[in-house]
Amino acid sequence: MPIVLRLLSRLAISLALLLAVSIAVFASVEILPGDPATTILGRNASPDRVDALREQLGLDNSPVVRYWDWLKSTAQGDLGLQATGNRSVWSTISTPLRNTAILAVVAFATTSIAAVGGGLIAGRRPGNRTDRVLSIGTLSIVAMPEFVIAGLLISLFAFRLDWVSSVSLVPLGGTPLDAPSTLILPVATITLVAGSYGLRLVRALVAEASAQPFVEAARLAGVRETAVLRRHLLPSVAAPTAQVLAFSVPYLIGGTVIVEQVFAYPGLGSLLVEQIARRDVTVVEAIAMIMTTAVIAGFLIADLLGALTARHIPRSDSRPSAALP
Amino acid sequence: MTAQPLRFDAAPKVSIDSLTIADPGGRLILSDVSLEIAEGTTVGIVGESGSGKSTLLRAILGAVHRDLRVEGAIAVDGTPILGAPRSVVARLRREGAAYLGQDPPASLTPSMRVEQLIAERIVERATFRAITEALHAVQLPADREFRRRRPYQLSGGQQQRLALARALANRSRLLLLDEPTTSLDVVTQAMVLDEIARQQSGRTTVIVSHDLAVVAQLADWLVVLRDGEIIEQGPFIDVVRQPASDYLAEIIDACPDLAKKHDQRPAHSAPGGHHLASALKVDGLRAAYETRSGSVVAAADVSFDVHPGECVALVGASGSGKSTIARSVIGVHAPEAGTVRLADKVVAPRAADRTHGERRRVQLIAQDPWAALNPRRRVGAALARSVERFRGVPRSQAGKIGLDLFERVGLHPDLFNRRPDRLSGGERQRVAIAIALAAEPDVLICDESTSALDVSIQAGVLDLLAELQRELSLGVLFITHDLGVVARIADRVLVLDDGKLCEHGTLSEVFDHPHHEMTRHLLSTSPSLSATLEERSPSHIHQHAGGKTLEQPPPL
Repeated sequence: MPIVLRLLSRLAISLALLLAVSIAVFASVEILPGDPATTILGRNASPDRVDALREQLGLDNSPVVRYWDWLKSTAQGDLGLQATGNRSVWSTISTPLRNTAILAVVAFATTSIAAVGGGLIAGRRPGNRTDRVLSIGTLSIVAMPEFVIAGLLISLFAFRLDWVSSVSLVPLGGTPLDAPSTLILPVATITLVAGSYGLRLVRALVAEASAQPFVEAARLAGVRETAVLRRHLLPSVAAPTAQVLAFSVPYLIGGTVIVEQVFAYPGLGSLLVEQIARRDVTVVEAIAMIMTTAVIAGFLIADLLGALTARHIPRSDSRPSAALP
Repeated sequence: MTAQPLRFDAAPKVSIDSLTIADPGGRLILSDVSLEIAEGTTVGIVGESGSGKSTLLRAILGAVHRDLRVEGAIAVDGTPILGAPRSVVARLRREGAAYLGQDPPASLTPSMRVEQLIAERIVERATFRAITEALHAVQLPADREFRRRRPYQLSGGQQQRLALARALANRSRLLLLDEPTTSLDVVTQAMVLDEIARQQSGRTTVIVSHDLAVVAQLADWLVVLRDGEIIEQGPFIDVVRQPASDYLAEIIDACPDLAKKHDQRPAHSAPGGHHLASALKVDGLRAAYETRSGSVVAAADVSFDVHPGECVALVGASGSGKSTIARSVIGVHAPEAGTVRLADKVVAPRAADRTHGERRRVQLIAQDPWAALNPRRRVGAALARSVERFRGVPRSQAGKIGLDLFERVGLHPDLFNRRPDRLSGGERQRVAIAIALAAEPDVLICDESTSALDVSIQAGVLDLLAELQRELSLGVLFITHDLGVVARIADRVLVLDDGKLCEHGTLSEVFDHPHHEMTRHLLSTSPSLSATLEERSPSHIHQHAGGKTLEQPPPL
């Protein structure tokens, strides 16, 4: 299949997936106990007032109608008003979204460096001491829940060494970049988790490539190790490695909920937990859709990189051999 | 250890002194190997797989796996290599030696361009001219378009030449070759051997191979390695003419050779004397396969038959369509036209559409028994299951029949409950034959079934096939590029060129009076130990006086 057609079909599948997820998100918010009207008015409000507010908010329409309305406006970029209060959803989520984006970008950079650098170092000579240390170390980290890792980092760097604050206090009206120290522990936690996972995958790719005859030939020809890695080994693992990194994007966006909570980082994850507690349907739905879009985009990129890998150069022995002289 | 300055401008000598290499479990890979390789000579090291020959060759480059225990010493031009500082080893590899391993095209990094591949190996500045010279040295073009190509944009032959050009680009005078032509068809093999022979002058060469006929074309000195020990060495011609060890005599005898045609049996005449129906008949077969660059015709109007008890060899260079024909016959490749008859009955093109009985009649034995056997299944169980399925007997009885077949193909009953990884290559191929026999086939198709085996093992498997063919009246279609093997086993020969049958006839008709150019070409490029020995009368052996080769300028 030509690459353009392939791209279009993957895109169509992704959109269908997004639609399916939007139904699931809407439905799951729908079955949560309680509704915004009772939350706003309090438990002791009279049923008449609740009904009036429900009508005003459009909550008395059937779920299908409300889903359709919501989908239409969301698709047009209008996230609507908060269900609880009169602020627009966008104004509520824009700052946390930016904060999470900053965290995700920084963490993606560090994760990539850790995964690719560590994977190269561990995989270039499979089974040597460095490889064993890194493989076992990352396995232990992968096996640990992230809040435990976050807790360990806090107890070591915030309480014992007192290098950084245990909570991410972003200056009022500023961004996390104004106080970079607020990023250190969240980024470190995400890097340890996603980086360890990525490192193990990249290591396996590099170890396999390292046994390729052309890598061995380069080593036996006395090519410097840095050149062996750069010229011979990296190009053959570049595409699958990019795929591994693309797979970490969904985690960076969606998986940060716990990390943000632990460090009280003012991002989308913290906002999500807060708004679920307040039963703010529209905000929760908006956040869920943003995270879903990011996840699906990450997988889409990974898929496309995978398709490019499949187009990779064929092995030499699949060709007919020498013709007659 | 006083490191003498390495001088790589002359053909060096290599001394190996009581080299012992053991694996972590204490098993000896090389045991007390001592070898002096004089300047300018070509030493052939011959041995079966597992004899330690590759380990020995790579040790000369200081490449010994870190888990292995090493004793003894290796010196190149007086400079100790084992245990030498990393910089000395790196310099030896970069400037002092040229190494070419098995499957040379695989050594070409797919993402790099021709010019980058060469430039990396040039010790001095890699100028445009230096790259041109390196490419011209192996008769490759050096124009700008060619330089920009990547390995997959070259033909198989060009890939072979490029790999050799790379190995030679550092202009070192020590050439280390590890099975450089194994797995090549005879035509390509001849091209590569010619090219190596052209590059040999003024160089010290060490070539490792399991194939005596290949070594015969290059070597002055022969070293026979078995289980990590040198059991015999001496001037090539003398040693081969009068082998001192039984082992070498056995290898020489097992070596497939064009000149050693087996006794012809009268072809397709039944004991009663009347004409027998053919076991397999292929008519007007047309088949093609798809590649990246389009459709390749593998068979164009191919017709032939195989009679019971007869071995028909299908020969041709790689890519001539041999395997596609085999795949069409067993029904895993859909032909465009033509019919396949089994026992005079036309069968469906797809195996899935054939009846159980029709599928039973023709069985395939692949080149790589490793890939054909389930690694997690004991070979006895796999065999018993085939008996159960094909013969419809109860399981208890299937095991018994399986064991009989197992012994029939010359395997010891102790191996019955092993998994494939605990068997040798030859044993695995015998298991594959036993599994094929479980179906009680009329026709056995052997697709390069012995080309991955050592010569002595190969000889045993070929003898087994000949015996089965005789005793069970099996028709055998033997696909190979090795004419030495054909001489040993075939009754009739079909020669394939670009998907067309260009010649067919009995073994002696085709071998003694070839008509088609392709046949003559295949015959002339086939390595033959006896022919090479005849050619190389003692006067042909070079006298390598020390220093005599030093004056020669580096080859372009």
